[in-house]
Amino acid sequence: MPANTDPDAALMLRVKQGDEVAFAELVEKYKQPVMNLVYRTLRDATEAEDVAQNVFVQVHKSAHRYQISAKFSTWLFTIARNLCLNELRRRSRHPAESIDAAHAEHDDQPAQQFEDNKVVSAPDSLLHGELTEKIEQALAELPENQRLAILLCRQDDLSYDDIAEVLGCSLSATKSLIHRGRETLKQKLKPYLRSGHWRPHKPQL
Amino acid sequence: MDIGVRTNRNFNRKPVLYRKDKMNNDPLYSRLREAAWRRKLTPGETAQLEEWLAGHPEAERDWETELALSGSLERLGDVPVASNFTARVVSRAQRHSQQAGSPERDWAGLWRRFMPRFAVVAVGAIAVLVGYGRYESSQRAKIARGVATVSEVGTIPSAEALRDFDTVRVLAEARNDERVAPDNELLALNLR
Repeated sequence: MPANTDPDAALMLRVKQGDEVAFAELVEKYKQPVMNLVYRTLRDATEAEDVAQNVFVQVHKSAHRYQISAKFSTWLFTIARNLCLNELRRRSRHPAESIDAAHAEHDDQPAQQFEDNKVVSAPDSLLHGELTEKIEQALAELPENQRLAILLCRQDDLSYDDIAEVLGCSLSATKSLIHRGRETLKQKLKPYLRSGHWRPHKPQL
Repeated sequence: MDIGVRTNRNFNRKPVLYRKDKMNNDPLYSRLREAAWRRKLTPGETAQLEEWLAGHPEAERDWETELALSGSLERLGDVPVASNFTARVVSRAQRHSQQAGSPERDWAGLWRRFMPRFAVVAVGAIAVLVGYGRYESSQRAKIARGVATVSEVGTIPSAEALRDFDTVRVLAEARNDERVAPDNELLALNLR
């Protein structure tokens, strides 16, 4: 894919040359979708933020390996998926180990502190209703690959082919994963879906 | 949507319910449903769907559930991200690139990372070398013992003396064997 058609690829070319402003632009653009994916895969706000940061640090470290022919978002979400799966594997191996301990050997310098102007508690603000909570729970109970497929399906800039590339499987397998995941969700959320509570609330006049 | 019954392949006699979803196999319905998973249908697609649903009223319920699920998933919204997220990421990335740029840190990192593996390989190599050394020395000791035994033999008789060795040895054995009596007469004739 030529850089002039993909603005992200053009930014990555600048990152390759050491342009930190371009890197910050990419982080700013993709922090929300990456955070959405990572949080809903790991279901832990603190770990999700740390892993999401690692995704971008990995992008920065691997900038010299980035092929301009690859779509940036596909590459980014592949990194995000791999780091999420690593984290889930680490959790299953060392359930009680803190994520800070896992990175302690690489981070022997204290992290620079930045004030958070908009202090938010991710789970509190996220789970703002019973239905939302039920959907989150039903999503969390899906097998990893079905959950990832459904979450990636929400990304507008990823085609089904891109999702298949991120998941490392064929197009038909990807569609099958989404279909099976959605069927499970439909079964679990049946009473809520039939009640019509899913419809957006209309402002009362 | 009709529901059928089939038995498991392991013939455990327990019936398993499954859905014979004819709609899933309909290419038009599948295409429209896959499109609706990701976005709102275009007016053209909506018209196609309505026409199709008119011919398949049993699928209306399924389509409504699909729409309801898509609506619910849209309701999820975004996870809050800290306002200093970008600054923290850039800071971490810079720290990593500074660390990567320092050759001393590179060597230290590599040493820390590979030291356990190196130690295991070194212990294995030392064990193999010690084992091989012991084997070699035992072989050398065996050869030395052989040489010492040979060196203890005083003098070797000449070839002339050894020419009738076999005959003499057989005669000597025969003399000691009670079953074979020596032919004394022949010996006497030979001695004349």
